[in-house]
Amino acid sequence: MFDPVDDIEPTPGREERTRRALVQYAAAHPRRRRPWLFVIPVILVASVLGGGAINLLLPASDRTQVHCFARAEVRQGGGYPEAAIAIGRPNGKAALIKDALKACTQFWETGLLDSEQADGLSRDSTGRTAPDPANAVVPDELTVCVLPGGAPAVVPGPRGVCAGVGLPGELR
Amino acid sequence: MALQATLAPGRPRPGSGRVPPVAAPPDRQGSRAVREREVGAVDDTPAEPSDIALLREADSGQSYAFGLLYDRHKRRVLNACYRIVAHREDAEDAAALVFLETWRRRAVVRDIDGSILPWLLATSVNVGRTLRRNRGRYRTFLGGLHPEDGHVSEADSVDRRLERAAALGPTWAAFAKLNAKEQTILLLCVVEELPQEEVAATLGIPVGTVKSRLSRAKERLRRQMELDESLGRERAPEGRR
Repeated sequence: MFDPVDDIEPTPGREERTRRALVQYAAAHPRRRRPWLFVIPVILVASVLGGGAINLLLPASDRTQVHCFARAEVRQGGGYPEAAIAIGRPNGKAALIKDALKACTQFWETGLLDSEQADGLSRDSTGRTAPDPANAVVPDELTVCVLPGGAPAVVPGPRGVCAGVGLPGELR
Repeated sequence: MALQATLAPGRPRPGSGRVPPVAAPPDRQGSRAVREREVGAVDDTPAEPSDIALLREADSGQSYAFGLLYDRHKRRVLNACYRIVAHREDAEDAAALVFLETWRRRAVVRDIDGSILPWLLATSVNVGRTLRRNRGRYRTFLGGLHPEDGHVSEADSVDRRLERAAALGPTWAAFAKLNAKEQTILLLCVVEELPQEEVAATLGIPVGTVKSRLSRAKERLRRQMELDESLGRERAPEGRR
C-alpha cells in the first residue's frame, strides 16, 4: 500500500547524545511519591499509639457541600449547630466548593450564623431564620475539619478544635 | 485506482521478553529427538528482560535500564518518526521525544506481553505531528541534543511539511494529510504490521473498532491519493503554459 521508504540511520554521535540525555533525564526525574498516602497511615498509627494525643488529619473528599459551624460543640444526639452550603448548577449537579474557609467566612458575614442560638442560626423578631448582616460577627479563628461523609466542616476555634468536636482535621 | 502493493516484510517484535520459536534446519527436520534438543538448547539461554521490566527497573532508580530500552527500540522508533515527519533531523528529535514522553507517562504505558513497542510507535505519530508546533515545550531537552550550535529549528509551515512528505512518495504525501487517528491505525496495522489485537490493546479500543477505523483510514488514504493525482494533472498543463 505504501511507497517503500529506505530506513534512515541516525547522524553519527547523535544516538549516543540522545541516549545519555534520556538516561540523565530518567535519573533526574525519579518516581513521584504521593506524600499523603504515607502521611495518613503514619498519623493514624501515631494517633492510636498516642492515645489520641495527636490529631487525626484526613483530606476532605466531598467538596459539593460545606458545613459552617456556629459553635465548636456536639449537641446531644450527635448533631452539630451548623448551616450547610451547597451550590446547585442549572444542570442539576452540585458545584464544587474549593475553599471551604472562604465560603463559611462569607456565610458568617451575612449574619446567618449566630453562636448564641441553640441551632446556630440567626432569627428575626418572629422567630424565623433570617440573615442579620448588620450584627454579623465573623469569629477570629476558623478551622476546617472533616465530617464522616468527607465534607469539610468549618468550626470556630484554633487548630485542634476539630479533636474537641470529635472530627478529624483537614489534610490539605 | 489500484493502490501500490509494496508492503515491507513483517519485522520481528523485540522487547516482549519471549524466546522466538526456532525451526530446525531442513536436513534435521525428520528427527524429532534432534528438534527437541535444539529447542532445549534455546530454552537454556536466559531470556532478555521485557520492555516493561526495564521500564520498572528504571523507575525504581536504575536509570541505566532506560538506556537499554532506548537501545532496543531506537531504530524502529526513528524510522516510524521519519515516516511521519519526512525529515531526518526532525525524525531524530521526534524519536528522542518519544522516549522522553514514555518516561514522563511511564505510569500509564500499556505493554503487550511485556513489549512497549506498539506504545512507542503510537506515540511516534502524536509526537511527530506536534513536534514542530511544540518545539518550545521541549527546547531545553532538544537543545542538549544539538551541542554543535545549540539551535533548535523553528516551526515550518504546513505546506513545507507536506512538500517534504511528497518527496517520500504519493502515498506518504496523502498519508501526511490524514488525521492523527487515521495515521496511527495505518502506521501500526499496515506499515508496522502489528496484529490487530495488539493495536486494540495499545489504543485501548475494541478489535472491531480497529477493523472499522482501519477500513475507513484506507478509504480516506485512497481518496486523498486520487485527489492529489487529479490536482497534479490539473497543475501539470498550467506549468507548461
